[in-house]
Amino acid sequence: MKTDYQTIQVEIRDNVAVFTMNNPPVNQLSEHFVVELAGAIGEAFEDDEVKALVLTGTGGNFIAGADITQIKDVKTKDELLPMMKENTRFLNSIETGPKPVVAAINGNCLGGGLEIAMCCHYRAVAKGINLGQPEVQIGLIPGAGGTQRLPRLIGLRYALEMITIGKPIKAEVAFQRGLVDEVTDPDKLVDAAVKAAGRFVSGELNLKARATRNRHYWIPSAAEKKAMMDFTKAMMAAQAKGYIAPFKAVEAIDKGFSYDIDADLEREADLFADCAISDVAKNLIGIFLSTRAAGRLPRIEGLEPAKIKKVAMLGGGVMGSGIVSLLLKGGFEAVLWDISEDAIEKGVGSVRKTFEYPIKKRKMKQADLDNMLENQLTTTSSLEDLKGVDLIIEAVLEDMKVKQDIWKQLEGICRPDVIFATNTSALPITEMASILKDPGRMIGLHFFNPAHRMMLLEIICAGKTSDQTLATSVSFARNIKKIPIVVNDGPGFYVSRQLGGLLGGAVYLSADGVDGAAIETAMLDFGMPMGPATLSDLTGIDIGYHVSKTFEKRLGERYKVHPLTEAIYQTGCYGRKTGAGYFDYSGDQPVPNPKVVAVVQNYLKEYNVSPKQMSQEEIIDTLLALGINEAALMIEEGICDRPQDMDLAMIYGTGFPPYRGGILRYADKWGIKNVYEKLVALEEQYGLRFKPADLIKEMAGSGKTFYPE
Amino acid sequence: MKEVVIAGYLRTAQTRSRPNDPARDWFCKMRADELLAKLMPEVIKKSGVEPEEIDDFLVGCATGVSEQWAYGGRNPLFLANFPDTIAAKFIDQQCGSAMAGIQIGFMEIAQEFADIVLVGGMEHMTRVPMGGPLIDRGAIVPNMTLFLDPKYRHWDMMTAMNMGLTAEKLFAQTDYTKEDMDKWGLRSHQLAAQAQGKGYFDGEILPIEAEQADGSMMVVDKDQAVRGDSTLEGIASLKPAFKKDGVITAGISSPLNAAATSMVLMSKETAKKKGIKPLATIRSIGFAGVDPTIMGAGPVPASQKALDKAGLKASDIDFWEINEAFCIVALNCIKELGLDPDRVNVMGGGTAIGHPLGATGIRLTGTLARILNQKGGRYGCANACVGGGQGVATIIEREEYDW
Repeated sequence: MKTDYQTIQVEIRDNVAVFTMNNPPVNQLSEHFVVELAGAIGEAFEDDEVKALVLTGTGGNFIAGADITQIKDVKTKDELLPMMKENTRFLNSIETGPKPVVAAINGNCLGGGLEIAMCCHYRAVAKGINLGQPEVQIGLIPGAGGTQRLPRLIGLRYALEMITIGKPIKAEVAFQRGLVDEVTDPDKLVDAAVKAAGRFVSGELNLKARATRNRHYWIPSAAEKKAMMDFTKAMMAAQAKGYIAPFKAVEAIDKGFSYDIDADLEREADLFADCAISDVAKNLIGIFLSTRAAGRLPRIEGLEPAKIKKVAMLGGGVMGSGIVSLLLKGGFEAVLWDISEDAIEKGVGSVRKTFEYPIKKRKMKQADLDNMLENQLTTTSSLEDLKGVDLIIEAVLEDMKVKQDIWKQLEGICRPDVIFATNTSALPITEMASILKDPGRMIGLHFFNPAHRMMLLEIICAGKTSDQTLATSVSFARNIKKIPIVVNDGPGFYVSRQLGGLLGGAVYLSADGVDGAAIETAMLDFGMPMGPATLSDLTGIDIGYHVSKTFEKRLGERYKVHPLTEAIYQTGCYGRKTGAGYFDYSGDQPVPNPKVVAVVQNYLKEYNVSPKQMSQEEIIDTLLALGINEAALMIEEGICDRPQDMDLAMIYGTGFPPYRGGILRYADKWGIKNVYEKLVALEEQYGLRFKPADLIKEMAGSGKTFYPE
Repeated sequence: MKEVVIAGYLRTAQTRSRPNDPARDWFCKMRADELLAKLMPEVIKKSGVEPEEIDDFLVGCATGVSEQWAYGGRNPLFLANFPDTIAAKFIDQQCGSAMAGIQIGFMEIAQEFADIVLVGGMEHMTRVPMGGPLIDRGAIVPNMTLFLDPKYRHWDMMTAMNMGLTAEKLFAQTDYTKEDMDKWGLRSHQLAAQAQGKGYFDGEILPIEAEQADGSMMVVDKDQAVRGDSTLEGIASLKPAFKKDGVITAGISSPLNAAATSMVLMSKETAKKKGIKPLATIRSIGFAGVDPTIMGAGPVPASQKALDKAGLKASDIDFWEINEAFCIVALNCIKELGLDPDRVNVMGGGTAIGHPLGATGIRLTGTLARILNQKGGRYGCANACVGGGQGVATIIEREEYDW
């Protein structure tokens, strides 16, 4: 047979054609590659010398799935279905072909990769490799047989779990469940596969019986299927609200997984196409792509980040201990500094606490933690001891003078290239840096609580932060597995101010007679993890009040604190930490706090406002309009300029519903003209706070969108 | 020793299983345990007992792996929502499983350790196919040494585990011809079709509404493998199914089937007290081991033992139900025990009606009891050959129950 392929290296061993696929970067199923693969398989089927085939890949991937940037641009099902039909035919030709095809799974076997592997007649896999159908995570379902072949191999329960949640499983688990036939050392993989191929040739293994489509034993009885699907649907209705793909995947399995696999595959393709053209998929694919690209800024392109090995953490409070935990997990040497032995001891205790969960779940051993602390962590109350570190992250008292004092001292102790990062959430970083000889070394690294769990790291460039400082900080963020979003200095930076803008409309609605519970429900139904009142109670009404005051002071008239906010603050009920805020937490279930209720009632009475029924849509429109306006204002002010980063920050930092794509994708979908008109109406009703940003006005006029069309 | 009677008998239709083309099995979307659980409340109602009165539940099944694993017999009880006070056992004597259930129930009641026993059988040969496919999946893992170690060579496991080859071997040691078997196969289909036509089996089949492969619903109330239009030429023209130069074809073997069967046994005393009219009284049981490579010979010594225990001769038996795992098994029995063929399998046999392995014993005994009642016979003997080299037999007597 022909052996000179561009993307496939062909070697014949003992009458077995070993195909090593090499289509950089990840063996993705690009058009050219699929054509070559189909051609090569066809030739091997024809060649009498070849008795069996082995498919394996190079690098970290067996085969990656389809190119999702292609799917992103698909507008209609008709564009997609012929392509999918062709692909189904190709996969079926492997499964029902005349010769055994053995998959030697050398690396990640996800999405389309697993779907091809499941068409093979035998699967050998290297230890520790991940296998899965993660399509739902980008709003799609497996569209090349995954929903049909996976349950035929591992049964309904596990297949539903893998397909609707999208989490991959390890080779060893895959073996236990029957998804793969053999797990080997990576260097023995191809030999094992060739040997397995030989077992077909000798007649020991039966080609037909091993084809996935001919395995019927996992097909449940009608009664079992109904019970399982009813259960799954009920669970998903609660957990996957707003998403489409998990429901389509369940539909594919519910209507499919029958004795007629060809009809099942056709149905699956159609359901895949439904997903592919949905807004939710476009949103999720967009998020996936921008997550991958986060931190890749033109400003730092080509700069070599400095190597960070040793990091000092100033302050062992909630944030500090969470960050130390991250550093340890990331393999860094960490130095925890605090003002006293007591404070240090407390800090180390908190660090230990962050590992309680993984230890309980047996993801790590107590001894591992002890070793980690022993080998990687030192503590000190002397700034002098921080001499040898490469990066300092500060999370001490939120007081400009205290912070500046510390930085000033450190400037005299540390090497000039050491980065000074502050985790302040409110203080102006440009001002903080102003006392340094080289303000270029200072940057804001704004972690979110709990630091060891939240995926976002907001990186704040102060006025004089150097490109090198930024480049190293972005690289550091990636190394501690965070998603870096870079913004400029300003009150509340991006995330806090954006969230304040998104939820800040609530008080205007309350003051207009709208029931607080209706606002909570509306935001929950919109997909936010909690409503404005619940969130305020969690973060502290006093904290929110002080932030608002800062905004008022620094940003001017538009941000004047609402009198109702003042009145609520004056109750002294600051939320969960004081036992009551908007809600009273003394009972089993939070109930509206009578004190706050009374304050609102009095306010309404005083201003002669009567209770108002407002539709959920109107509540959402009001809050979102203000949120979008805030985003536009921040773009105008130069806080940020990349919509994709702003959307990511809200999704990873505040739980903004991913299926909505983020606040600016939502704005584009809603239509900027509609946003503008809504704001104009709201300004008339509620005043200056809602005055449309110039940018919104201009975009409404020109028809421009935040994301390029 | 107490006398034990059959108070009731009910089964599902026996559908035709096709492990490689499941959609054609009318029961493809029902599991065996679901079929059995459908029968359970109906058979006790038919027998006139309440679930609470049952002392033991015995489930026969030849392939108790994958979805036929029954948690020791408790799962069908759970599926039927029967009381948790009923004990259960899962019984595997291969093709003798359900008959073994009858025999154990008989002994429990006779020895007064139980008074009312529910016996069930289940086998779904589409959803849990016999042999190779289960071995491929690792659901059945025979000990390799039996096949490889010279000290076990005499067992000839390759033949012992292939029923068709054991039938070839049995045929080879008889004087029967291929044509004799073909004629018997044709007779089986014709008699079964006649019985079907007259509605004979309606008295023992519980119609079940079953979802079909295409999603439509169908009431399944007829044995699917019976072919009234069979011809001798048709049967004779079939190719050997198990070896190239063999004689055993699909036409003279039982098909693969899915079905469940059930029977209520109780002491005669209790039947009388409750005013229940039994179908028959169990008189004797027999079981015997034979060369596993000629397992089809098993019914002969098993039946002889049962006859001896009852003090009867073969000629005393009015009707026989001999399981036609293969036609040659029935023919061999006729020859060796000296039977009148016209008294054997008078409503057709397993070739036509089917043979859902572990469920068959109840079908044979129950059908036989109904034949005695319908044709006015006194003694009947049901027997079956058993994979692995055994035979089982049960002798029943129809009496005048004057209460």
